[in-house]
Amino acid sequence: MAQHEQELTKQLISGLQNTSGVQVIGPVDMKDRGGVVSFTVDGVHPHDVGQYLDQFGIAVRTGHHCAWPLMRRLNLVGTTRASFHLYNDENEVEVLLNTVSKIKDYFKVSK
Amino acid sequence: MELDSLYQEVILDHYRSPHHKGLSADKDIQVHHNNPSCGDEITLNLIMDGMLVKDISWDGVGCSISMASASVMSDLLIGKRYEEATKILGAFVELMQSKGQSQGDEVILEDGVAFAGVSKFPARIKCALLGWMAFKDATTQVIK
Repeated sequence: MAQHEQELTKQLISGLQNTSGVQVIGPVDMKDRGGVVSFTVDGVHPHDVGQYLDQFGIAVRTGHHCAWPLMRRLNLVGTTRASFHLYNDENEVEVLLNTVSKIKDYFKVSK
Repeated sequence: MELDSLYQEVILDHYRSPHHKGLSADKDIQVHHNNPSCGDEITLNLIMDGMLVKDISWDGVGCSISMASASVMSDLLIGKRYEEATKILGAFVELMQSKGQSQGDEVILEDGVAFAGVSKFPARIKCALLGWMAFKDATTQVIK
């Protein structure tokens, strides 16, 4: 189960790093890592990112994750956070990456 | 798609280029409102001239809905008499509570009618109301 989560997490991190205007928050290596990835989309608030993903059936958690002091320290208003379990697969990671890549265009923020 | 009723072009325009954002040096009162559950924050400066809303300026962080709504609110209420501003505020609150059943009165709300779609998304109504409630708080404190 852990291995499955690791594979999906690796796939998502590497995909997000190759998506323009997207920043992965937190470590990008796989050491001591669970199946959770936080990221931001430049110019788009996490609640708007989440609302957009929700429209396509993708459930993520957004906002400050009850960690306001940490967000301030990181100079962020919040993040979008995807998490995996056994029932998720590589295909779904691709759908997530593909949908994330369209967000900036939808909100018409500069590239 | 359903999302387009939430993110109207007018809303995205105000989000990208907000009006009256940046706090004025002068003020009669400053209020700070935040929504701890989502992290949206607004600081609002109000200047009254008797019963006339002379100036509103604000600064804040938050989602497109909350920031665009604060922008539209300040556009609408600056230069209005208190009674008129209260009437517009009432119309906006009513629109937010309409659960998607109201289009809003464009004569009263102008760009504010773009937020009609927000009333279909219960989790986002508080975003749209943040700036308006800050204004309400500020005027109530000045006028008493």
